[in-house]
Amino acid sequence: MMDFILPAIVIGPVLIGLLSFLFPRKMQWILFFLTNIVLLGAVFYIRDRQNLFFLFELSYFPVNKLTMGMAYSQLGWFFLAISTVATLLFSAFSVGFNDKKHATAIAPLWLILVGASNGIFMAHDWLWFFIVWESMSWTSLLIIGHGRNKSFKAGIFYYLLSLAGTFALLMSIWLIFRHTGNFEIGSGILFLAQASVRAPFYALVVLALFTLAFFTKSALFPFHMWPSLAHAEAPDDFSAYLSGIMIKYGIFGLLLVVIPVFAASPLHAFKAVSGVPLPLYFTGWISAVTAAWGTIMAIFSSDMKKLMAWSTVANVGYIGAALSTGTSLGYAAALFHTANHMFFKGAIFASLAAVKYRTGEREMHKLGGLAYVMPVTFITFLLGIIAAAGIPPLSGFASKWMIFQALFERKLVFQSTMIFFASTGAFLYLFRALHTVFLGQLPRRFAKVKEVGPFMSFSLIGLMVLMLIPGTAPGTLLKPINSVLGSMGFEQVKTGWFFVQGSTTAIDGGITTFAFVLAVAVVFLLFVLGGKKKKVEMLDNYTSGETPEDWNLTEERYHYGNKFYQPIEVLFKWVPLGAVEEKYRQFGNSLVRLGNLIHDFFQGHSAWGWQLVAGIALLIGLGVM
Amino acid sequence: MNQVILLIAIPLLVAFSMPLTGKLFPRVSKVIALLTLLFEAIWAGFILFNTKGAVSVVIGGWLPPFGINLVVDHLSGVVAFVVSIVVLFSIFFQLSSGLSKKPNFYMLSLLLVASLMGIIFTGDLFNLFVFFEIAGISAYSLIASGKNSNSSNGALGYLIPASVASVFYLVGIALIYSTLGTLNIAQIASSFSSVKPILATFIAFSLLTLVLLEFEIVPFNSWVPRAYQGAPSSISAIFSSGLALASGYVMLRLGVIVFNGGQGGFIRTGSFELGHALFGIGVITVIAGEIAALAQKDVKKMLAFSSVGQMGMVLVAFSIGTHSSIYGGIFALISHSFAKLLLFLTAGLIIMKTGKSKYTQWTGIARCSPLFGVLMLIGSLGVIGIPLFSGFWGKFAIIGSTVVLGKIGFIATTLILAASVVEGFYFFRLVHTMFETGEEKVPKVKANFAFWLISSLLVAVIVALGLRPGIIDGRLKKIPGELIGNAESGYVQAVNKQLKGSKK
Repeated sequence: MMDFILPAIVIGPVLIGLLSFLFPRKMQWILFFLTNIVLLGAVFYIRDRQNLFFLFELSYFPVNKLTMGMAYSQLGWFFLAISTVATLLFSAFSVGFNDKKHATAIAPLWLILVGASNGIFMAHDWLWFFIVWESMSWTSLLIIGHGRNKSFKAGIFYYLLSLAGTFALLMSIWLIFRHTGNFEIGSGILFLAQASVRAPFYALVVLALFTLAFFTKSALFPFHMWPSLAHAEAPDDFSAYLSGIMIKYGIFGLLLVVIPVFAASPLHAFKAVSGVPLPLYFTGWISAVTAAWGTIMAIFSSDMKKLMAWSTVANVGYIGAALSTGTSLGYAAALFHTANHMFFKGAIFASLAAVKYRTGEREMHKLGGLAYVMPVTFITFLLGIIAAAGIPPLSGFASKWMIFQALFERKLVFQSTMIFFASTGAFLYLFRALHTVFLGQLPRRFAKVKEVGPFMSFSLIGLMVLMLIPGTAPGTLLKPINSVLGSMGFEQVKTGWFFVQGSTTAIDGGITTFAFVLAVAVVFLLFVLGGKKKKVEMLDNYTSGETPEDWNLTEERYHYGNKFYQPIEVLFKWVPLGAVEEKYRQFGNSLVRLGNLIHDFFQGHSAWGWQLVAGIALLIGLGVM
Repeated sequence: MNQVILLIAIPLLVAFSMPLTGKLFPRVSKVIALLTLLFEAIWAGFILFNTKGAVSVVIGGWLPPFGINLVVDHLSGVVAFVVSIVVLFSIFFQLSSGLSKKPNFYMLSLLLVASLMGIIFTGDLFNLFVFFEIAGISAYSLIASGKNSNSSNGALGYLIPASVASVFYLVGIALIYSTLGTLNIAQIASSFSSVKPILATFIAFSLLTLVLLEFEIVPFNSWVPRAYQGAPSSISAIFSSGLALASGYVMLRLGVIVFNGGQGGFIRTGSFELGHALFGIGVITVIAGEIAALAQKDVKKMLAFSSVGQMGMVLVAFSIGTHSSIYGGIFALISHSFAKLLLFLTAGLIIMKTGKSKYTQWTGIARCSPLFGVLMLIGSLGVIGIPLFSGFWGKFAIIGSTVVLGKIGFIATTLILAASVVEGFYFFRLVHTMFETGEEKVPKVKANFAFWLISSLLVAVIVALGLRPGIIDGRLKKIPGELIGNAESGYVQAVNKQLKGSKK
């Protein structure tokens, strides 16, 4: 069925975005919010309309009958739906966030980005996928940069990796096209599955190129460092979108092409390690390493946005590991965690943005005690980190549990250990963030800080609800996920509204929630019945009566959040954690030096003579070769 | 098609009358020059519109090899049209920018456009040489007409190597004449395979030295950065978008029709794999150009090196010689012409108004005057080859034809794309710097109506080509078929048909 609702979902926001350049800033944000409401309606309107598509032909000589466009797919719809819900809440947050003091001019670009993002999820063919993918990349670069030199430096790092990835995508598209004669995703997968037997090397190269593209986007090793720069330096309200939604494009891509190829290719096509095809086993290890790496780096971060960015890297690592098991339980777990991470990381970044909105601080050891003055933000953050740490009854628990179940099913002991290490490490950094930002004592200069306004509170509360529901009733998300799995031809996971069956055991969200509520009630009772509490001034027990100013020291130095995990840092001192980053940087500097060298080659009036000779010699040499 | 001669004759005529009219009515003469350029654009469009296939036009009733013929086909029609538009826009920009130039400046640019038209349409190698010389002479003087310290330096840096390369070219055509007895391109093409392999290779090298020099291919292009930096921005724009386009056109003509006999596939002269050599040197050019541009702080130099990189990519496409690679190369050339023209004119205006030629000094310009930032952004997106902007479709076809060439092709594609990543970096760095909030207050940059007209037209072209490559597809898709034929290319057939027809 040819319908104009798909192009409206994709091109509509882009056009509104272009139009909204003309409006004043406040209007832009309201328009952004309204557009997202309409989008939400449209997305749920097209639910389960399997045969929805919008295709058009381009006249382009190198390709005979170039057809491109959008088509409905269950997988795409799932991503579209969760991202639209999240975007709506983020946009509500942004409406409140962008007042006179904090305004950034990113709303129109963000609208364009939303359109491109929807286009990715609804792609029918590679060419369309590529076009929206690249449009998404450069608009997001401009948003991350938002006119600050420092932010741009972080953003360009992300963009260059991403551009390298998109070019890998471009090559793989053509390598498939050479054999299939069209750009359709479905026929490409079929071709790759066949090629995995006939020409395994060719198939592997193409798959590797695809994987490279998606790994750069999702920040898997060795591209794991860009979120810590880009997510941290992006506009505060945009970080939630970046970390919640944009990092998932790579996961979507892997599910779109790489996973189906392995599912469709015959069993004997690849060597297998404990039932997992070797390439997937390899990506599984990369993901596990990413998870561990991200966790360690998060533990070391003292900047709260950086910390959460590293946590995102770790979570993408979990998702990648689940995907790499190659079982339907693993895919379900990956999809489930993708959705959950979208909401809880969105909630965490939004609440951090709220903190920064009121205090202007990002360094954790300069904050503290904000729970007393910003209760809604505090509870959002609390629920967010409970979900992120995977503690029942919040959403993160169910999905993490499923990830482990999937790993156990394949008996991937070492990967599970690594993920388990990462998951435990998550407690360390999440607790630190909670404790240093929201608990402890309120610095005097923040005594008059108030809770954020109604728009932002609405958004935060909405995100809380989205974290609570899938934790108590995993079926709300797992049932749509099951239909995704079914549409892709995989086995479905056994699940009810509350109940999920894993590979070794089953859990029930209702019971865990009940237990949790009971435990909280008991603890609260103890708290109320407990003895007298005494308030201690922040610096009382550190400075022994000296005033730090006499020694040219600031109060922050004595904050318990300062160098919180120094012992662990000492422990990991011998691990070259920043090495990859440093290598990239060195490479960039060498390129500039080389560029200067080439430029010097053009200087001087006598250069031309031997250049002509060199040119001819080069021609001869290359020709003979 | 006889009217094609007007494209060369009219600007020559007006140019030669300029010294007189310029003395008597300096203002009127400038307007006349502009009108002549407008006529060129309209006339070239008219000729392109009426082109149905390759047609040979004999000048003065003398048949080749004794006379000179002009050949109009889709390729020359398209290139001539784009070149005429480029020159029109650049000179209009120069004229309206308020920087007063003497009438001689306009005379020289008319000479330049006449010679470019000659280069494009002529069917004779010696005639090509003459037009290259005229183009060169006017170009040297135009560079030297710039006001900055590099102008004469740049002109000299171009003059000397170009003159030496022309001598090479002359030797080449002398050898052709002594072996084949003709200098007509079509006639040479039919019998070039009978030339001894070693001699054929030698001839190819002699001719290509000049062409590659004009085509800004590393390492022949030592003149590029200084000339671009020294010349007035409008002239830099003409170099990058007009001269380079015309030279690329000559490269394609000579390579595919003359040296390869219109067979398609990698160019071979005798037993020498010239195509492989050009492919390799193209890849080297892409990498060298983009990396050199990365290190530049001067905006015009950066744009110049970016042109070098783009030309390298086009050379790679031409050297492969398949239908889709030639299509991609031409598409990339044309889109580059428009996008680079926009970039040069916008950058030129900003440099002129603010006096700041380094991108690091451009902080905050687009905060005060956002439209300039948008123009630079769209031009950059067009050059890098981001989808939805014109450069993409050319690059897309080129990558599609290089990546399937086996292992070497795969490596070359990777290198080209890696260079494109570098390109993305320095263009976005430039654009973002303009949007950054700086400490010092930046004065608002103002432009006149002419600039907005030109730039909005160019933006429209870049975006329209990006959204619908089909707009020019109808013309472009016939080009590969005319260049490459089973027995002979359409170009050669057209000329030979005319010769036979008149003998009867």
